[in-house]
Amino acid sequence: MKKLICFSLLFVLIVLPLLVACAKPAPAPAPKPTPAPAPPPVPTPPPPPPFPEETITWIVPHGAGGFDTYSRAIAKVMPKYLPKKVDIIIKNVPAAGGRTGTADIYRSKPDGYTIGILNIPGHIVSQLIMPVEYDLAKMEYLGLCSTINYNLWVAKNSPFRSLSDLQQAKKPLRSPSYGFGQTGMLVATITLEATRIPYTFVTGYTAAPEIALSVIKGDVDILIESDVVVLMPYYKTGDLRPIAVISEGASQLFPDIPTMKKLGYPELAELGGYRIIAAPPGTPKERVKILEEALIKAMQDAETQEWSKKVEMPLVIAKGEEAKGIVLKQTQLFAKYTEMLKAAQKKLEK
Amino acid sequence: MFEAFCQALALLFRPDVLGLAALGTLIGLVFGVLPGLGGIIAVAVLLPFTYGMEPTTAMLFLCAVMGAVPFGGSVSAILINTPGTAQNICTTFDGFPMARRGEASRALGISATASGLGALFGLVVLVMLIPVVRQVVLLIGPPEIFMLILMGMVTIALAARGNLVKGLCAGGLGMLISFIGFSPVFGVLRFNFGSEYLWDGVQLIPVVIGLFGITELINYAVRGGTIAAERAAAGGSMVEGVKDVFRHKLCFLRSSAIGTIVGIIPGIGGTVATFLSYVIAMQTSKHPETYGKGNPEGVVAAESANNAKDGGSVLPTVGFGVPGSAEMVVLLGAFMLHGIFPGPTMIKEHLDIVFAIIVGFLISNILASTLGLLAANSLAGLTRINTSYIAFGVAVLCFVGAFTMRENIWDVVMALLLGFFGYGMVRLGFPTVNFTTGYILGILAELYFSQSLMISYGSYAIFFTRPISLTFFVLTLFILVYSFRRGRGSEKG
Repeated sequence: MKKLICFSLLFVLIVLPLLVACAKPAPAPAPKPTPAPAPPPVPTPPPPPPFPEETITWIVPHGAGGFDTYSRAIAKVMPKYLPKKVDIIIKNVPAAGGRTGTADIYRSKPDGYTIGILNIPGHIVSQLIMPVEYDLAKMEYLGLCSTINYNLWVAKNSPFRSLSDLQQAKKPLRSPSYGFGQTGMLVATITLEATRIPYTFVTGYTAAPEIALSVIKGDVDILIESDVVVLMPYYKTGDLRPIAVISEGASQLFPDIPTMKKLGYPELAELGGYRIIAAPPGTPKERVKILEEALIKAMQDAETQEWSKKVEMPLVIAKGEEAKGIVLKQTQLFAKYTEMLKAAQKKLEK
Repeated sequence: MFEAFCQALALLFRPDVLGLAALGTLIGLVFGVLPGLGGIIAVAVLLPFTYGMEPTTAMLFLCAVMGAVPFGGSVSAILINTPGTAQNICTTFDGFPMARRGEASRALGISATASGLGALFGLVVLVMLIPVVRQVVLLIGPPEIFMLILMGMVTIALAARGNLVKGLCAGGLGMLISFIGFSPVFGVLRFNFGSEYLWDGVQLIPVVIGLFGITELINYAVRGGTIAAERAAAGGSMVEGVKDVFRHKLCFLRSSAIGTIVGIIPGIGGTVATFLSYVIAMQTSKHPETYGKGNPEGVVAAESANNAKDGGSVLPTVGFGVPGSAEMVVLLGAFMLHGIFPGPTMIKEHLDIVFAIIVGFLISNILASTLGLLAANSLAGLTRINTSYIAFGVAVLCFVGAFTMRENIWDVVMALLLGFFGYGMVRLGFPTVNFTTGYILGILAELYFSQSLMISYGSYAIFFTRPISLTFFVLTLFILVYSFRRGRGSEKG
C-alpha cells in the first residue's frame, strides 16, 4: 500500500509538470515556439512595441501537400524581411479535414505571433453548411500565395474524347473524390451538375496519385481535380488526357484544350481554389502590415521564385486587401451553390 | 541499375553521409522506442533540417531514420508490453511473455535478427520488381485490398482459441470503435455522441498506449514484483534468439513475404502487415495454442513482417507516387520539398534517389540490429528491476506519448479509459488481439468494400471477376477449411 502511495505521488509530481510544459508544443527534438510575448504597453505616443521579438507560428490545417509545401517554402525565406529576423515555424493541424486548424488560427491570440494558411473555398463551404468555430469574414488577411486550378481529365484509352461524349454517356460516369466536404468534390459536383453529365462518386481516396492510378486502371471514368503538379507527369507520359479546362487560371497550361467558358459554361470558370494567408481577427494593424510586407517580399524573393520554378509550383501573389476580396467573392459564389450542393449530397446518400 | 546501386553505396564512403546515416539510425531507434512517437513524426520533424542537403543525402538520411523505427519499437514492446509503434503490437503478444519468463534477451535477439534480415528481404524484392513496377501496382485495387483484409479478419476470428464467443465479441467491439468519427466515404458523422473530439474517431496512439501500456501499469500495481517473473532458463540468451530466426526459417520467409506484399499494396502498411503475418503464422503452426504465451516464432513472424514492409512500400511510392505505407506519405512530402515529383517517370529520372533510399534502409537496419544485439543483455536488465521503480518512468512515457501526437489532453484521457477497459478485458478473458485487429481492420475493410461497390455500380461480382481478388478469397476459404478440419481433429476449437 505504501509503495502504491509513493508511486502515485511521484507519478503526479513528475507527469503534471511535464504535461503543463508540453501544453505549449511538445518536447520533440525540433525547435518549437515559445509562449506569447509580454503584452504591448499602454497606448502612449511612439515608439510602438517592437515586433516581432520571438518566433512566429504558422498554422497549416493540413498534412503534407500543396498547402504545407508552399507554407514551408515561404516561411523559410520570410524571416529575412522581418525586423528582427525571428524564426517562423510550421505547425501542422490536420484534424477534422482542416476545420480544427482553421479554428485554431481564428482563436489564437491576436498578437501577430500566430498566422496561418487558409483553404478557400473549402472552409467557406464548411462555414456555409455546418456549424464551425470560425468566421472567415473576420480574419485579417495577409495575402495570396497560389491558386488551385481544376481540369477535367480522362485516361489515355478512354472512349470519351470530348465534353459532348461525356454528356451522352449511357451509364453514370464514376468520378473519384477524397470525400464529402472536400473542395475537389464540390467543384466536381457543381461542374457535373452544370454540364448535365450523368455521374456517381467513388469516395474514400486519400491522395492525388491514388486517384490518378484509379483512372488509369479504369476503376473510375473521369477525373475533376486540381493538383496539376502531381498530375503533370501522367500528362507527359500520356496516361491522362485533359478534356476540358475548368478554372480560368489553367488555360495557359493547356492551350489546345477547350475551356468551360468556350464550351458554354462561363460560370464554371470562376471555380478554383486559393491558398490565402491570414492572421486572427483583432491582430493590430501595424503588425498585420509588417507581416504582410514580409510575406509579399518573401514570395518575390529570388530564392522563393527559383524554388517555385524548379518544383513547378507557381506563385500567384496578391496582397491582403485583394485576398480579402477573393474570400468575399467566393463566399457569395458558393452561397449561391449551397442549395444545389445539399441536394446533390442527398441524392448521393441514397 | 547496378551502377546506380554502386553510386548510392559510394555515398556511404563520405564521412558526413555516414555520420548522418548513423545519426538517423539513432534518432529512429529513439523515436521507435518511445510509445506515441514513430517514423512518421520523426521524418516530419526532421524534414526541415534536410533543406540544405542534396536530395540523395536527404533521402538516405530520412530512410535511415525510418528503417530503425520498427526495431526500436520492438524493444519497448518486449520489455514493457507497450508497443513503441502500432506495427509492434504483435511483438507484444509473444515478446512480452518471453520477457516475463526471463527471456527478454532472447526476444530482443530474435527481433534484431528478424528485423535486419526481414528488411533485407523486402529490399531485395523491391529491387527485383523495379522494372515491372507499373504492372504490379496497376494490378492492385480496392477489391484486392478488401479481400486481403478479409483474410486477416477471418484468420483472427479463428484465432480465438478456447473461447470463440469472447474472441468474436472482442473483435466486433474493436470494429465498432473503429467506425467512430466522420466518414469521408459517406459524409456522415458516426457515434460521436455530439463530441468534437471524436470527430476524428478514436485515434490509434491512445488505443495502443492505453490498451497495452496503461493496462500493464495497472498490472504492475496489482501484481507487484518484477516484470520478469522467473529467472532465465539456460536457453534465454541473445544468441539463442539469433538462432531462433534460423530455426524458424519457413516462418521467417513467409512473414517477410507477407510483409513485403502488404507493403507493396498501397493504403495498408505496417500494422496490417504484422497482424496478417502473425495470425497466418499462428494458424499454420503445429501448436497454435502456444502463440500469445511466449512462442519465439510469434516474435519472428511479427518482426520480420514490419521491416520487410519498408522495402515493399517503397515500390508504389517511387513508381507511382502512391504511398505504400503511412511513413511513405511523409517521404512523399520530402520528395516534393526537394523538387522531386514521384510519378511514372520518377524511376527513369531519379534512379539515384531510389537507390539512396534503399541504401538508407539497408544501413540503418544493419546498424540498428547490431546495436540491438550488443545492447540486448543490458536492456533485458530492465525486466529484473522491481516494477515500482520503473512504473513511474513507464507512466510518464505513456502519458506524454499519448499527449504528444496531437497535443490534445483528451487523448490522454482516452488512453486512460482504454487502459482500464483493457485491464478489465484481460481479467475477464477477452483477448486483446481480437479487439485490436477489429479496431485496425474494421474501418479499412469498410472503406475498401464500399469503394469496390462504388466502382462496380453496386455489383458484388467485382470481387470474384478480378483474378487477384479471387485468389485472395480462395486462400481465405482454404485457411477457414484447414482450420476447421484441425479443430475437429483435436479438441473443439
